Amino acid sequence: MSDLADLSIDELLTLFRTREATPLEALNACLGRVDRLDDRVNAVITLLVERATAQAEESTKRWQSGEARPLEGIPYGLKDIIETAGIRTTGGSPMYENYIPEESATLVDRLEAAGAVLVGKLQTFEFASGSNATTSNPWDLSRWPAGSSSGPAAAVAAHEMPLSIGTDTGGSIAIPAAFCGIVGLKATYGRISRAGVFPLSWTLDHAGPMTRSALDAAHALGVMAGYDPRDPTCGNVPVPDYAASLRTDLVGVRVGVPTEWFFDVCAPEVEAATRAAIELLAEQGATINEFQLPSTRTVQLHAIELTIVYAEVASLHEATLERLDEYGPEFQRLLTRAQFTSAVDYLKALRARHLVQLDFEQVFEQNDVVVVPGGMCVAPSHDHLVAKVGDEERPLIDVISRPTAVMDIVGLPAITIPAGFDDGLPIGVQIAARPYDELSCLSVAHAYQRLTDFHTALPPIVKDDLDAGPSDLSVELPVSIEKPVVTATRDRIW
Amino acid sequence: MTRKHETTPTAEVFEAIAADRGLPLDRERIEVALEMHAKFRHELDLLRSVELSPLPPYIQPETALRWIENGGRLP
Repeated sequence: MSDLADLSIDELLTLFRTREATPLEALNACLGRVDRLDDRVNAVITLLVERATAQAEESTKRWQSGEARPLEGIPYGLKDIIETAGIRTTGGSPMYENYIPEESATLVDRLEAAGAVLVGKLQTFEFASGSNATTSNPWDLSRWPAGSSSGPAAAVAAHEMPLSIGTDTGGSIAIPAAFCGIVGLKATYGRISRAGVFPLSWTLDHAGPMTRSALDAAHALGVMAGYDPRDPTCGNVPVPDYAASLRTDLVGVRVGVPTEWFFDVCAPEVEAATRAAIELLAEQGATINEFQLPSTRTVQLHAIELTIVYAEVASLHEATLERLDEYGPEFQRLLTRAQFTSAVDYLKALRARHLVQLDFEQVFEQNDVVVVPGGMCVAPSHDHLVAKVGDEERPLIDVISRPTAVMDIVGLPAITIPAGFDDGLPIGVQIAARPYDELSCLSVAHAYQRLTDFHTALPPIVKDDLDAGPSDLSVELPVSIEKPVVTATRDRIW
Repeated sequence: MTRKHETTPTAEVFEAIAADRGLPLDRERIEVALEMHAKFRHELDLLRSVELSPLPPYIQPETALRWIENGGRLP
């Protein structure tokens, strides 16, 4: 048995269209799930009950009057580094705990103009960096959900809402999507405006939707993507109707599989799941080609990533460095180390990343997509943040972004989808394509999800909630809930 | 050419840099920065050893942006 909170965006839109459900009913189902589960998951930092209810009532009327917009009545949440006019946006930082922006981010304006209903703001690591452990993984509450889109991933995995928006600088959409068993789409650099999004690193920051299916990600991307003069890095590239254009067959699709880097440091269970996914694509008619990354082998991706982040974070926070004590403990460490980054090293990192791009240019002459691991391991324990690779434990900060930061460095679109389990914990794989070819990522992911059911599996906490019976909003919620920003960690990665 | 670094910065070196820039970092924070730098140093040295041509058409930071905007090729 499921309720409206368990349905996908696509299913909800169908029910709204056929008058079998209303946006207000869907919102109440989501609020009920938040009410019952979020004290344990802690995905939400600000819950907007009254505002969301007013939006859902308007959406209900629009469906009745035939004026529905593309995401009319779809409940969603925003990583709390995304500005919302009149609603506090903390950036996950005590420094901005009471900051209320006057304008919304462009991506928020677009979602609201499409009729989406903002349920709440979602937990994140401070300025999208570090390992803040206040949110738990719905698949095992003792486990880390990853981040920095920790709240967005956990909220969607816990069926508190079908859509959330995350951001990704080195894997902050991909890794939590993999660890929490959901879909995360990091769009091409410049595909989605970042105007109004707190930056961590302007060279590497990306935004994207987090959902429970590739089709839902296509629905959301279609609304969010497109040129924005408010973001100087936003590309002026036409936006296709992704949801309507998805392919469902894989015949003739050329799939690249790396012979190096991605599998060099990777848990055996993750590698096996990734290779099984590739095999399934081949069985459906895809052509598999192995590829190498000669420059990627030598340029030190992790050094490129960290050097760029260090330099840009130092520049971004220069004006508030004198208030270093007011940041959380992990960000203080990051910002302190960041001060000692040379201009020459920074420029080397910015220039060397084009060598990696040239590797991928070669790859995409032979392939439409590449398939690689999402996370390189499964979710670690909150109390022991290490990457387990076989019998070996590696420092998380050294290896966790290995399969993901390369997508940010190169600027490729990459979708992470569930592709298996290891001892009850989700495993994700990534499908990446040429810049601005999100449609190929989405199509292959959609075709894969028509053949598999990993993305429909329920976390134990959701199963238990369904088994408990009535799932309507069981208590009267206050008009809004604002939780304090907490930056303490049980373990840390910096 | 691969450059080999014989030394790593000391607390005094980082303190001098901090003083030159007027950074409000006490000795405890300098030690944190040094510890993080030491962990990262090997990878950074490898990045530093990557050779990039100074001759046209040399790679600029903007080259990467043009490559992305043009769908994964240079115009």
